[in-house]
Amino acid sequence: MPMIAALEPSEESLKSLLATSREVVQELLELGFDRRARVLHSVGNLWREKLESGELDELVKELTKSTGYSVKNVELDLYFVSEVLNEVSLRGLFEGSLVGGYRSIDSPVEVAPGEFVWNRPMGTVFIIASGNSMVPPVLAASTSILAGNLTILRPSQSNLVAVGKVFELLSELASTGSFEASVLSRAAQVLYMSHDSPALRYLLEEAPLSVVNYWGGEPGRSRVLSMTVRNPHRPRVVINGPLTGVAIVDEESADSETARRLARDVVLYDQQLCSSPTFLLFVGSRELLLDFTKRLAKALDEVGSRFPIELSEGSFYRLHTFRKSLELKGVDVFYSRSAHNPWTLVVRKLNDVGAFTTEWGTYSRRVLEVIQVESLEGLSRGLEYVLNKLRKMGVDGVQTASCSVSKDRLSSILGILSKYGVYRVVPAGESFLRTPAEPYDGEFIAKYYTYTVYIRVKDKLGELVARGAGIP
Amino acid sequence: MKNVYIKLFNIKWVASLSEKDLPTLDEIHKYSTKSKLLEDPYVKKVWDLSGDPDLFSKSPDYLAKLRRDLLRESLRFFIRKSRFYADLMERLEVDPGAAEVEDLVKLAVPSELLRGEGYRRLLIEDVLEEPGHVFSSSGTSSSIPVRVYRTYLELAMMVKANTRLFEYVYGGTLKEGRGIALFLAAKELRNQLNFVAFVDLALQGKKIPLVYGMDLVVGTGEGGSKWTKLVPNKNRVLEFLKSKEEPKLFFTAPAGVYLLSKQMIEMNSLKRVIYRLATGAPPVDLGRGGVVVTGGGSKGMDVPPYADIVSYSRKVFKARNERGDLVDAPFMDVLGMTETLTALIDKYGVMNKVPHPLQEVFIVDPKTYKIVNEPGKEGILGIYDPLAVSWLEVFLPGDIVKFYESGRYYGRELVYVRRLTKEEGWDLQRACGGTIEEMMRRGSS
Repeated sequence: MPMIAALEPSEESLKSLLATSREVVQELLELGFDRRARVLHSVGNLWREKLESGELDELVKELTKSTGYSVKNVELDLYFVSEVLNEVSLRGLFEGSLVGGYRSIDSPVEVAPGEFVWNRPMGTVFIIASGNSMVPPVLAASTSILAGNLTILRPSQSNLVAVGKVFELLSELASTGSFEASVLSRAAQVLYMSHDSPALRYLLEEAPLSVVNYWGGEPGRSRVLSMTVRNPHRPRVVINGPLTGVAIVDEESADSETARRLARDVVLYDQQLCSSPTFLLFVGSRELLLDFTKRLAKALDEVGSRFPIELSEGSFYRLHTFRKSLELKGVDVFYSRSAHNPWTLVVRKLNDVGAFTTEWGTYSRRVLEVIQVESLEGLSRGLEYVLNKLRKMGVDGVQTASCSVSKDRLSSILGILSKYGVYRVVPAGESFLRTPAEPYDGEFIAKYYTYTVYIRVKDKLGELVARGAGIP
Repeated sequence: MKNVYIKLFNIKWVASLSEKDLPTLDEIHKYSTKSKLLEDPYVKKVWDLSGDPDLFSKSPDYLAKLRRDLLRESLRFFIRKSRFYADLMERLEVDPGAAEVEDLVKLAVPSELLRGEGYRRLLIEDVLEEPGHVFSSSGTSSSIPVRVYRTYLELAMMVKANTRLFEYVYGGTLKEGRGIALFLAAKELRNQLNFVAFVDLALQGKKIPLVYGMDLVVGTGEGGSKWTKLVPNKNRVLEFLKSKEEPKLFFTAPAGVYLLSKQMIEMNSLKRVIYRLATGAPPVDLGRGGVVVTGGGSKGMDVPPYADIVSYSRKVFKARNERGDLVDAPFMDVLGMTETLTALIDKYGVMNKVPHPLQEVFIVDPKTYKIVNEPGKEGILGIYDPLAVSWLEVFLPGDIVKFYESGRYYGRELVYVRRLTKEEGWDLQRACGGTIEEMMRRGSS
């Protein structure tokens, strides 16, 4: 049964749980991939029903408070949960993730004559998930369970209750007599442990874990890593570090529609996603950029007002101080005076940015740094500036480039982006949208939680000798 | 300049101790009258106005118009003197010829940006040729203190203007050479704390002896770390208590008068008799015109609300009325930050805080940063002081205040509410949200 711990688990209770790992994995495998996927699909349907019936209204309020997102954003995020758990999507995710596709989870799949791959669950997976959206924790845990792992999920403080409620639905289904749901319910353990919890230390340093998957930045990342390296069971460590998005717009595409799309990218999730653009590289003249800035300001007013947020007095003061610090440095800053839609556009020329590598305080929400570059050569320099700045801010790099550029520039831009380790390139306005075919941060997520067994049932040496290898 | 921990009544705070002594009032006068800045008509005008006692008898409308005119002239002055301000006003679309109080919001610098060396970029070039002094905050809000540069010319205006304001709130003129003052601080603190410096200089002007009731003791701890602490100097406090001069002016942080009162109230009977024989106190008789002047806030100390401090301390601190009868000591409180040339002062039970007539005090909504014009509505304090000529002194010190309409010269009186809450726990980390959030919490300041 999933456990949403108001109190932290004890080391003893974790030991008892981990002792069931082989049994749980075996039960999951006996169900088979399709039946597991169907159960998760049912969870998604049930979640959607509850969302539409208003049963989750209180949860929406709590999440609005804990994440700082607008109510509408939270509702959208909760809606995405059912999309993540969609059976077809999950199957597609495994199909795209693994050599051998989703069928290779159940049994070996022939990938060459006489050669097979069999993707096996790692065993026990511990996921420390992020708080910016329901999607990463639900997707990561569902993928791990679907791969056949006993999965311990430690959500963020901000979405602990909500994530717990999702997996609680497995128990609800099990209580209606679904054997499959009861198996998955045992495999899905939602637990909360604080950073200095003895239980967390035990899990990371001593417990027989197969995978530790950490989503987030410093200082948690270093702490988790330093504890995990001591673990004698040598779990695989997968880090999904902090990333951000960059928008690229050229002057040919700098119209009101692009502005509206970009505003959507900024407003949805208030730039807290790894994909949300926090920088805009504008390829074109200063004059056209200022014209586009006006369009963008208007679009931010319109889109942002539909997703009103509440910032604290202290957050506003920090934002105000941030804006003023830039103005005093000679930077053009455009901003809204709305208390519920406090967007900010910081507009600079590429040649000026060198002087402004450090700013007062931290960035707030709905702040877009706009950098004007004259050419594609300037775009490369702009990306270098962004990456340098991100490193200073503790962000690993650029995950997503949201582009609205002319067709004749697109391939050149792709070439440039490929040199800077950008993981995704998507149309502007769709940075938050993921399809089942997509990898996560440069890797297919099902690979985190599986290993591949290679099986050869046909002699291959003869072929090698026939090609001239001198093997006796 | 060195950062040290100062320990007052076992509470530590960090101060940036200036190694440069505060100039004397004579030195200030000598250099300020020769200042090249005075050649500018705007500076000359504010110089003349700074000590004008008649300002306090003008109407609120008259003063509002005067301040608006000064604002416009001041903006033109800064444009004349500094490319930085010319660019800034152009980018912020501030037209000096039509500037209003609303424009001050655009120009206001949050005091956070004045921490460390932040003040330097705001100075006009001319001040580099002028003698001056750097003040810094006590460091209770942040380990990096706010620092502000003052030319001697500004210090002279500060003394004139603040003395007039002080006397207005005090309710009379301090007679030259009459009375004695005690500041419950160490003398060295006048070199960096604005409030201490103002009191010291103003009393020099009035030729009223000032006794510092504390010493700064510097030592070296284990590992060579420097520590500094403030320790009471009993002899000097006794000198003040035993003095027959009147009025007695007692300057202190609110905690100082509270703790001193507490010590006296909690004395056992025997000790009280002995102490009384030696000093005449308790009660502490401040005489005709005697007053307790507090300033500097709580300095992070856990002390009761100000009203409670006053009523508690009045059990010990007494003054005398015109007839010579013993009455509760008047309490005045000074709200004066490092950043402001002139202070806001109140007199407990008589008037709330009033600014100098030339100082523009405005309040902005904490979320929209629009001017608040409704009496009683809380907002962020903003201050513009036209007497500051080395930088455009318009800033947000990070305090929440409210105002009430008043029949006095300013038309408004202000009530201090609290420090602005600058941090409220953990925010989702940008880019990927936060995990292990407990480690990401920032402390409140």
